[in-house]
Amino acid sequence: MTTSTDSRTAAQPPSALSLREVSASYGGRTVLDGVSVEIPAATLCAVVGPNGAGKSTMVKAALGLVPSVRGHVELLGEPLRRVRRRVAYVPQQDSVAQDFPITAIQVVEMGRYPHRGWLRRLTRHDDELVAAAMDQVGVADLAEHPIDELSGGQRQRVFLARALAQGADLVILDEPFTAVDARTESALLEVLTTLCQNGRSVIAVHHDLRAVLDRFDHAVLLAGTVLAEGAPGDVLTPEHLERAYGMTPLVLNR
Amino acid sequence: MIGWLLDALPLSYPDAVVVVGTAVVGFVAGALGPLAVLRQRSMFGDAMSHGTLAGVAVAFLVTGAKVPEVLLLGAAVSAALAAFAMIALERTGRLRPDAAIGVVLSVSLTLGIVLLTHIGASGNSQQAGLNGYLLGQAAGLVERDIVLALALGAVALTVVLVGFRLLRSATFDPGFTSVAGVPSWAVDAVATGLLALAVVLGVRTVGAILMVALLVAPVVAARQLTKRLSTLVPLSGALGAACGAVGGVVSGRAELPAGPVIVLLATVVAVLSVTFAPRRGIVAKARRRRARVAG
Repeated sequence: MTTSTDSRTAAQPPSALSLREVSASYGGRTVLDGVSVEIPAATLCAVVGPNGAGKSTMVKAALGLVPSVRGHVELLGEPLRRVRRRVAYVPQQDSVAQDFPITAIQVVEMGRYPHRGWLRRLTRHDDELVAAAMDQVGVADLAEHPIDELSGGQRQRVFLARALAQGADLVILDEPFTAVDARTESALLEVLTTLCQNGRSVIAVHHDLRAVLDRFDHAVLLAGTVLAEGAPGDVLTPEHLERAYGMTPLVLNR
Repeated sequence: MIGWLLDALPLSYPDAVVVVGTAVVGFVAGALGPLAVLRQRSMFGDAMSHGTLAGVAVAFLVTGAKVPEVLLLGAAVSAALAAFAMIALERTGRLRPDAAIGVVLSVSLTLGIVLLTHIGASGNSQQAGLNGYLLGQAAGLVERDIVLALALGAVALTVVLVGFRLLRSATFDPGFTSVAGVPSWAVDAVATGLLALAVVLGVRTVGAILMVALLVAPVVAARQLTKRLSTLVPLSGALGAACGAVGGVVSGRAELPAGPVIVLLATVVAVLSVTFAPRRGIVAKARRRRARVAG
C-alpha cells in the first residue's frame, strides 16, 4: 500500500499532485528526502505526520514556494506555471501578515486576481462569484469586517471563500484547522467534500488523525520521506504510526 | 516650475520653499512607509537610511562639490548597498535578520561619521552643511530640491498606484501572489527600491538617523483610523506631509535641526491616534470592554 505505481495505471484523469523524488532543504538541513506521491484527482487528501516531518515543506515545494527543490513536480498533470489559475493555496495562518488593513471581501476578491490580472478591474461576474463564495462558507455578513477583527474560524472561512471564488481545480490548504472551532472545522470539511464530489481535488495538511480516518479519502503519511500513502485506513495503521511518531497516538486505539 | 505655488502661499519665499519641500518629503515618506511597517521591515528601512550617510560623504569626496543631485545619487547607491548587504547576510543563513540589520546599521553609520569627520577636518570650505545630513536641515532647501523631490516622489507614487493590488496582495499573503506567478523576490526588489527612494529623498531634511521615524510614525497613526490599505496610504501621506511642513517651519524659526522637530511632531500624532482613535484606539477599546463587562 505504500506504492504509488498501481494507482497511477488505473487513473484516467491526471493526478491532483504528482511528486517524484522531490527533495528540499532549509538552511542546510534536509527536510524532504526523495518524496514520491501520486495523489489522485477528485479526492480529499490529508498530509499527516509528526512535527518537523516536512508536511508544510511538501505542499510548499509542490507550489514552488521553497527555494531549493530537486525532483519532479506536476499539479493536475502539468508543471505549475501552466496551471497557476487552477491552483488555490490557503496558507498557514501565521504566514499571513497579522494586523493588515484589509476587509474580508477584499481577501476573497484576491481569488479573482489570477483570472483578471493585477491591473484590470474586477467584472460583475467576478463580484457574483465572490458573493457566492462568501455565501457558501457563511461569511456573507462579514464582508466589510477588517480581517484582524475576525475569529480564527471566521478567518479560515474567508480564506476558503477565496479559494472557492478562484474556482480552482486543486485547493491546497496548510493546516487549515488550527485555531478553528469544531463547528467551523466540520462546516469547512463539508464544503471541501462537496468540492471533491464535483471533481475538484483538495489536499490539506492536517493533525487530527481521527478526522482523517473519518472524513478523508486519501492520506499521505510523512516523516522526511513518505512512510505510507493510500486509503486512510491502510495508511494510519499502528505499525506505520509507530514508525512515524515513535508511538501509537491514543486516539486511534479503538 | 513651481514658482506659482510658492508665490500663492501666504508665506515669505524662504518659508514657502521649506513648507513645500518638507511637505513633499513627508508625503512621500508617509505614503511609502506602509512598505516598511506592514512588511515588518521598519528596521530594514532604518539601516538603509543610516547607510546613506557614507554615500553622501563619498559622493562629496569624489566630486569635491555639494551638488544635491550628486549627493542624493551617492545616498541612493549606498542605501542600495546596505540593503544588498543585509539580504546577503540573511540569505547565507549565518545571521538572523535582526543581527544582519544591526551589523549593517552600525557599520554604515560608523563609516559615514568617520568620512564626514574627515571631510570636516580637511578645511574644504565647500563642506559646510554636510553635517546636516546627520540630523536634517530644512533651512537650506531651494526650489530645485523641491522639483527633484516632486519628480522622484511622483515616480514612486505612480508605481504604488499601478502596482497597488499586487503590493497589497504580496504584503498580506506572499504565498498567494507567488503561486499566482509573481515571485516574492521581485516584489521585495520593488518594495526595497521604493523604500530606498523615500529614504534618500528624506535624508537631507530629516537626517539619516531619524528618517525611519518619518516612515513609521504616520503609518502607525493612520493604521488606527482605517481598515483599508487604500485609505491608509493617502492618509499616512497626508499626516507625514503635515508633520513635515509644520516641523520644517518650526525648526527654521527656532533654529533647531529639522529631523528631531519633525519626528517629535509625528510621534505626538501617532501617540494621540493610538490612544484616541475612534474604533481601534486604546480608550475606545477600553470603553467597549467596560461596556461588555457591565452589560
